[in-house]
Amino acid sequence: MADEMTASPPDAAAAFLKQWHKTTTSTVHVFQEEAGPYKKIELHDFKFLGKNFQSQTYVGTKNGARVAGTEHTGAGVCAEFRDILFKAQEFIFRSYAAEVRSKGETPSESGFTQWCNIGVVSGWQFRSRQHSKGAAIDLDPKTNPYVPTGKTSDPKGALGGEQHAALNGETLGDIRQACLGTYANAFRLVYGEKMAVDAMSHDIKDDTALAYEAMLKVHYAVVVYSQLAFLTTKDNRLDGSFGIGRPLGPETEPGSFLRTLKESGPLVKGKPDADLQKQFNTIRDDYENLRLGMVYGKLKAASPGHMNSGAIWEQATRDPCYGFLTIRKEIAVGLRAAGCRWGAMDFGAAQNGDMMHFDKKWAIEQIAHSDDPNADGLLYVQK
Amino acid sequence: MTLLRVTERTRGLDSWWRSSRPGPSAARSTQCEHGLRGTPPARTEGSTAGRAVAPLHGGAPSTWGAIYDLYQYNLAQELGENFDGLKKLQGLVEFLPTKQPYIGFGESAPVDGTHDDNAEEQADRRVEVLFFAQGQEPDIALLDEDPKVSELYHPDAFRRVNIEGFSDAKSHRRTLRIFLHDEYQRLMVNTEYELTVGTEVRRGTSSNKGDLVQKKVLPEATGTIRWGGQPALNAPTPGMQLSDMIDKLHAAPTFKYKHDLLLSPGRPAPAVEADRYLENLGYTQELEQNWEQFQLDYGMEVQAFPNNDVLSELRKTHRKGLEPPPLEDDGLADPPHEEFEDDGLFSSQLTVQLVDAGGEPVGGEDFEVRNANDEVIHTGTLDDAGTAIVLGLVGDEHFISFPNWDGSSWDIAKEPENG
Repeated sequence: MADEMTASPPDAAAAFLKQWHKTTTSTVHVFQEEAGPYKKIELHDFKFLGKNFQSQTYVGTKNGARVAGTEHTGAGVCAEFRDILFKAQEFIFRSYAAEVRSKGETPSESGFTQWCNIGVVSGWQFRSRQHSKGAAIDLDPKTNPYVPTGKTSDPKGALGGEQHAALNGETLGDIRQACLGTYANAFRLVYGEKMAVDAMSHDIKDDTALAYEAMLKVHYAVVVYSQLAFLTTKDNRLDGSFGIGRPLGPETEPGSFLRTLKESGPLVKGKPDADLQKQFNTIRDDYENLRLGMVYGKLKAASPGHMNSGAIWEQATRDPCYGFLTIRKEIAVGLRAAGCRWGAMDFGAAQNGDMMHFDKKWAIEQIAHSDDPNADGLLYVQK
Repeated sequence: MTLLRVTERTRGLDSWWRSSRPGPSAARSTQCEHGLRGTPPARTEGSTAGRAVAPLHGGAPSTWGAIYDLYQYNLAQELGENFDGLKKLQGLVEFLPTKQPYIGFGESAPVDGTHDDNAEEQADRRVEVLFFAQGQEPDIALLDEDPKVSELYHPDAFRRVNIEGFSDAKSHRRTLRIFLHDEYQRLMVNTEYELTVGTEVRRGTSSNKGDLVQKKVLPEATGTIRWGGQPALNAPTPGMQLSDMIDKLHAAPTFKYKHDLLLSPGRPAPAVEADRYLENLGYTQELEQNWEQFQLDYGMEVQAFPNNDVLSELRKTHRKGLEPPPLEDDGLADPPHEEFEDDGLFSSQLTVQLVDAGGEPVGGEDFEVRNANDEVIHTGTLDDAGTAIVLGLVGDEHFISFPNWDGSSWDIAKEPENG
């Protein structure tokens, strides 16, 4: 990784981190889609960025029916990934300490927790890929979604983002391309300049801080741009609705688009379209385009088809007024410096954009595990 | 005078002299010239200017030009400047807006401060060039109205102070070469910084090697440097509203890192060093109480602060205390690591200085800084003055070496500040 650190973690880290790094353990099965012998791993739960890991419960089934007494609950990450997170947490603490000391303040446990400002830390999950092995974490998934990525200069090039089930490739590509166009429109209006073609295109060789800063600028552009024409939903979730749109105007009407645009003058460095009705419509269209790239789970069309053919979207999406990035830079830098991949930039051009996700790409053989022959032939499923 | 003739021949000084504008004090005869605003604020005797103007009487214009030329040269030499630097300094001097910038001496202003006609004391036959700091000028209206009633030579307003002669007038400013790191000990290239030393604030951008060089820095014992961009808008939070971002989103970034520089090479002041070490060892009172308690705890005869022997013991104890516990059980309980408070992640400053056997600085040499694990955590090159400051190091122990020097050819003259 371009900015992997070789220096040892500080040998005089804050005493409270030693308490945070005391773990509790639980043993869980590794997810698989069919019944048969299972692998089991030991999870380590501890305080990371001020939070303990979210727990999950799964249960054994046979012939589709739940089997009593087979319920398991676990939380945390595997021992190997735990050590990486310990190192990352010390790195992140360094950044926090440097910042507060430059202000003449003293680092503290509560201060560090507040500074990290993380609401949810999710590690092991009973589903496929790295989460199943406890080798991945998601940070505040609600506000750090999987968003489209790619270069605006290369419409035919690979674009990253969430894989939506039941959508043909053309539609998926169109959704991602439309999002990139929205980023560019938002950027131009908010910053008064053209967005760099690679603002949302980064890879494993890139410096974390620089990549983060580029994406953060786009995030803020999206937040401002969307909020000019829409109100922020309460829980960052749009259940198939179009969002809470502002009325166009007039300028004297509190909460209208024209009034908001006027009041937000210092935020808008670009020149809005002379025809403000047209500008208003563009933002509304862009908002709809963008939300389709910021889904919860898997996006489905009620009647499969092209996105521009009046398809009705079944699945809820996130609210573009929230943007897509609330993890602070120092956390992303620290995790990557400790050896993690960041889903935003390390998954490859066709899959980048998973803002919440940090992991280590390990096979189960690289993780301490045990075997469960599963003589009863149970199939474990998430409860 | 040989030099004068050479100057005349080589520069065609007749024409040069006619076209040039003399400096403020070179051609102003033997009268007292007042009204130069600058430093020093006190009245002085026997100034350079007074000595220099004497040979002007009766000389040919070409000689005047040569003298003026040499006069500028000597001024530059004494100030440690080149001609451009001298011109800049001269530009800082301005005349007070008086009707009459000269005052005759003698009875107008005898050295004893009393007005007296026909004063004939030799001491009164003098030239004075008066400088005033901003805000210390005499009442100009009064001076213009009647120099005799001006407070300019009133002993209650301005006091005559004899200043010992300088060996030269160089400012003795220093060059600073500072390496900027982030909290990961990565050199920060092309990074904006702000250096404050005394009243001077300098801003710039670090080089593509992650260092900065500032010349002619005021000779203060301490300074402050800030570097690295910190966005005016705080880190993103869920649900930010437009009102949270107005006046911040597009505002210029502030500085993330700040370090108070100790600009005197070697150890910090004993009080700073002792205070820090005692705190690290767990003493929580004021320095004097900690100092006494430390000696009592370690069975020493109590000595008042400061005392070099006690300080030396304190350094040893501090160093021992921060080392890993001994492998063999000595029968005593090991102190918990937490007892030694974190004395400042990302707060250390390392001043590297190389001097030869004669004490002269050796500039331009490569150096390395290693941590306690013998890992090279920084490499750099000393400045022309043989020094470099390295900021942002993490950890308590750092070791310096000069890879191009034979290990037997240099030695540690002073321990690093960080112990």
